[in-house]
Amino acid sequence: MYLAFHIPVFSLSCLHRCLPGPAALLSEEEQEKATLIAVNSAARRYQITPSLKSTQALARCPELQFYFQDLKTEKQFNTEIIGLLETFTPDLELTHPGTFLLDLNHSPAPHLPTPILQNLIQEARLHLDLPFQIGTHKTPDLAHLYALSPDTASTPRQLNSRPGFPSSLPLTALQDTPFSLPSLDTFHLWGVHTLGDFLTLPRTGLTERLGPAASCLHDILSGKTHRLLTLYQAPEYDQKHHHFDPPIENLEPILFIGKRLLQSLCHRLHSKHRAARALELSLSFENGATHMRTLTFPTPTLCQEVIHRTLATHLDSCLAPAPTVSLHLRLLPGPHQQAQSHLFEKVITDPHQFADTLQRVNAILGGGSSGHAPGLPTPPSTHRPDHQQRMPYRPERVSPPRMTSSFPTTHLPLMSYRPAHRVQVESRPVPFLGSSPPFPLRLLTGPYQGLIIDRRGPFLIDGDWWQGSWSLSQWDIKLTQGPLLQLTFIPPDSWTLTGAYQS
Amino acid sequence: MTSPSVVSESKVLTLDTLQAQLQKRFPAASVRTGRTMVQQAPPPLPKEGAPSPLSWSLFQRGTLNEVLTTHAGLLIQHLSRPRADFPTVLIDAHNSFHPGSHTSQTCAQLLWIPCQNLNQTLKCTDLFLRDGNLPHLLLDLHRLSLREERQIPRSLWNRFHSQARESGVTLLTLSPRPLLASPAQRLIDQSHFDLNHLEKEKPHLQLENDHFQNSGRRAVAG
Repeated sequence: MYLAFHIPVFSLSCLHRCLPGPAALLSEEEQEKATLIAVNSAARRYQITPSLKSTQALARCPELQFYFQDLKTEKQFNTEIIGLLETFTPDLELTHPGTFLLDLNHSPAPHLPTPILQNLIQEARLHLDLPFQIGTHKTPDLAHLYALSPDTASTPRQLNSRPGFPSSLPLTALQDTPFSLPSLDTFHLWGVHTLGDFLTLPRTGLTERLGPAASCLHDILSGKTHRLLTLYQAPEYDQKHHHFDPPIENLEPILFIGKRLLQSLCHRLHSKHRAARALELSLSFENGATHMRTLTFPTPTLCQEVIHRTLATHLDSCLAPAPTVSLHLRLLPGPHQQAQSHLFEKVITDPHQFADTLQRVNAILGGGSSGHAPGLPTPPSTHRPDHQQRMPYRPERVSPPRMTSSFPTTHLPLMSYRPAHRVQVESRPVPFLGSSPPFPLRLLTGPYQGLIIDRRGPFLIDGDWWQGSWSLSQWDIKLTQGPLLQLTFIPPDSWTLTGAYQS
Repeated sequence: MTSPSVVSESKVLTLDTLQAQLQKRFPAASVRTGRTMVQQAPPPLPKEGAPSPLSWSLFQRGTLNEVLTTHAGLLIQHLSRPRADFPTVLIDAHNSFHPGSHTSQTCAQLLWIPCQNLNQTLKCTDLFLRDGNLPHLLLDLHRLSLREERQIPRSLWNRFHSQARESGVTLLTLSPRPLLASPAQRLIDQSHFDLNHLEKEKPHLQLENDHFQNSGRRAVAG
């Protein structure tokens, strides 16, 4: 099914939403020499038609109001309408200024379009603030014809595709449309006033007398012509921008607008048989700061919910330095991933959900900046104690990640204290070895105190001798009561409890 | 001639009986049947000297379990065996995991979530239980103080229980004291180590089933 979205007298409507009196649009700056390029229905009652000179029009109606064409405003409205219509389908044609044809045959519910259309009408009323008429039909041209007149246009209650053609549509309504007939006066002389009257005329006679334009309209009305749409191609099909006026201070409006932008971006990518592999987000703030981030998806997707959830999760963890001025979204296109499931290999069932969970966990832990991001622990490549490193977990990776080989020095794994507890230790120097670390005897402060009854060590460790060298010595100790502990001596005189082998 | 009521009683299998029989014949199949869990005895612990180590197969899928232990590091080592399909999620409540004490193979099988406080720990546990993509969740609370323990609302474990049942994730908490009101399985670590076990002797983990839950079975893993 096709849907025609028509704004009557588009150029005039863009300038003034409601013009009850006769009004006309002029092509040139000088009013006296100018030619009318559009007139509203009130002006037509005075027999004022486009292509009349302004002076002629004033002679017919002295109250006629003149407006000058503003191409910039028209373009702005055009972009806005396209943005709105693209949220419903990417298959649309800019048929005529103010007229857009939508192909709903590829929409999710082509046979049940009523909710879609009601939604469209609601959205258009909410955002456009322009008078518009909608026509639906199985062929694009008849949908267009239905939309031309308020009498034949579809109402929210009557949106289903209708058979036949708009027989009551007057021929005068075809002026300034792709269906305009060359000799309208002749039809009036013949007593032909509506499309219904027109279709009763024999086609061959019409062609002989009035040329191919009349026969072409005859074919359209009798349903013989079903043309293909010339689809609109956005110049930057993978990105969209929205400017907030006034600036936004909370998250909900950004997410609401983001959803709309993502909807049309997904439709565009879908029409090009591509999927989104990442989302580029850019937010501009009132104080001139920007926030740019690329959110990569685990697998290329076109699921709007997944993309929107990823965006929402990311924005949840962000702090805006000032009210938000603009939002820019770009979906980086990629091929659809086609993977065959293996019988004996288990894979993560919902990688998008898992990526979202990891992102949320990351936000709870304070993000990557705090150094507590989730990941696969990596054995340290240095002997420096408590050197932490994590490798990001990628569920799509087939082979296990490569890590440096690690050979633990003890059978019992250590559990670290982070940060290490500083303790006071009673110790005695080792005789005859002046540079050796002292020998610990008793823990005086800290979570575990008491006499050390058994010990292993010292294990002397040093490193970075070429720059800012460090050295320390470690002891594994056992107290009269308490767990097995690791005690570290850091020259010249500080002791720390760095971990425990049992708690 | 038997009466009709006797025939119906003897021949008609109740749903519970059928589920129990299916469970007995196909133990590896899903243990979840709608909202009701089939009551199944936990798999036996490996006997002393048996080669089978402590593993996730000891715990039922979609349940909450706990091990009362002071040797969390050793348990983590046992539960993150190489060549598993998915890594084990280690929610480290006190950021105490020490990668240098483990082999690279063990590290490759762990998804480490280093938390800074109890609030973060419980939130992350909640998220992974709801997610359900990774089937094994290890909640390391072995340094949980009594003060922190009192901060955990009892209702939270009920919520975790229902989430685990829904998602099929097995949660195992490592704590010094019993935390869960009704875990599917509670094991008590009875092992004791000294300095010799750091280098000279190989430590063997001695786990016992809680006597209040199951009949005492003793096992050695390591």
